[in-house]
Amino acid sequence: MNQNNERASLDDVLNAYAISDPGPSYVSLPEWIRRFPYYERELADFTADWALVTWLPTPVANQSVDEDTLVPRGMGIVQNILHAHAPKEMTPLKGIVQEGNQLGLSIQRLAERAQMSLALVRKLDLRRIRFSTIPVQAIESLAYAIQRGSSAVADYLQGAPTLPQGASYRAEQAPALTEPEDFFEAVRSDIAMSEELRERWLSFASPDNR
Amino acid sequence: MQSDIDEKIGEARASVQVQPLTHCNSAGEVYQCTAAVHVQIEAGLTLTSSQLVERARIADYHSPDYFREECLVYLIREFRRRGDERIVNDLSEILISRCRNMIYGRLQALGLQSIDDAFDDVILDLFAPIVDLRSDRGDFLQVRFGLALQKLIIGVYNLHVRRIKATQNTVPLSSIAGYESEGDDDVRNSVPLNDVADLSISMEQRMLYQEGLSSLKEPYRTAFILRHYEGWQIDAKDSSVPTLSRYFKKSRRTLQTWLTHAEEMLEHWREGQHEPEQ
Repeated sequence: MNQNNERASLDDVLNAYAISDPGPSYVSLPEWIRRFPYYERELADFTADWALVTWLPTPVANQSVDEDTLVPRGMGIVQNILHAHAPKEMTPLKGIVQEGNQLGLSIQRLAERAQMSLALVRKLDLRRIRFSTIPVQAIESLAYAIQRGSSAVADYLQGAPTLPQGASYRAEQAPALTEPEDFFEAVRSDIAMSEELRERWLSFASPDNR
Repeated sequence: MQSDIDEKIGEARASVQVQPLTHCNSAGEVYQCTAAVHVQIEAGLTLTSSQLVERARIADYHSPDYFREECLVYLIREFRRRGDERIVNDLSEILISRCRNMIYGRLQALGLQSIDDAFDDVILDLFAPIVDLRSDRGDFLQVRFGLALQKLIIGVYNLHVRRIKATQNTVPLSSIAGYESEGDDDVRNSVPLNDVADLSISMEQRMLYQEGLSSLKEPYRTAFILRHYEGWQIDAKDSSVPTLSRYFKKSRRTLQTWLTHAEEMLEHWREGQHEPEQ
């Protein structure tokens, strides 16, 4: 399901679309969808949002915010990133949630950035989802959310399932882990996931698995 | 003494070659920064630390010494590579200072509750690829910074609009005349394209309404802009043509209701603009 490395990344496609002539527009959208049909929805969203940015009036002055507070606020984020991405650290990913925490992202915000539910992020973080069933779009979404490369995320997700950190058990031994779940089954059974997100993730399943 | 040291550092830096970009675009070609940016980078690398930061602080775009943002991105990575945290911090601060108004201004349509998180997200998405020396995914920022930033802002904007829609249900669809359930949508029963031309508004109206677009709620705002400012068709028989109906997954009738509602809201807004102040 997820071995689709031949296609251009969404990021590269959107970059090329952004600098194309005449740029993202209703006129050029069909041609870009024809070239990259697997990104049809993303290209349409991008074109629509580009139009909004183009036409919505930019306020003359930013109200309700002291502009001088934005720079220190931004620098706080930069410090987190610098700490999380120390150049000497070439170690593999230790966890999706842990990586997000290092960037100052709560699991809630991480889930929002990945367009997933909290439960699905937790399951992926604990590697309780069978890797072969995870669509490449989910790997890309997680990579975007924690600002790491897709391959690092894919490597992490292929590791052995783990138990939640800090969990305590009455028995002397930790309980045995159940079999990892199918990604789409997890999406279907996720009661906290909005219908819009469920529809989005299930759209990446093969037709007989929707 | 300090000036001698700085001078030697400057000389050493002059010998440093500008690192080429390595990331490929969607056509498989390696990105190239412009010649102007290349020259600025070379010039920057010959300066002492204090000279470099001083020059980077020049905010006048017309000054010959102005460092373009693409150049700043390169320099942040270069000094990160060298482990010079002080310059990385100084240059990062300058870059944020240059971008803050554009970011905050573009995100204001999200409303006060979301704008701070969205601002943080843009800064994260902007700087993570810049300072991540293990990857070249930020190369595009050294090619076309303005467009790259706009793309990041759009991505974050989109993310937050979806979140707001999912959590707040701000659109009381059921209260709108002409509302239909999802099951009633069927683009196959659409009408011919020329049948929807009468929904267009005049050029004069478009100009008059533009300032009021921010007052519209979603999805009316997006539908109205796409239809009347970008010329999206409401519906089409040809499945290769993007339409509002397919984009929103709603019927033509629902879209027409939304557009009418948006126009009424804009008329209402315009009347409010012309009311005499109390």
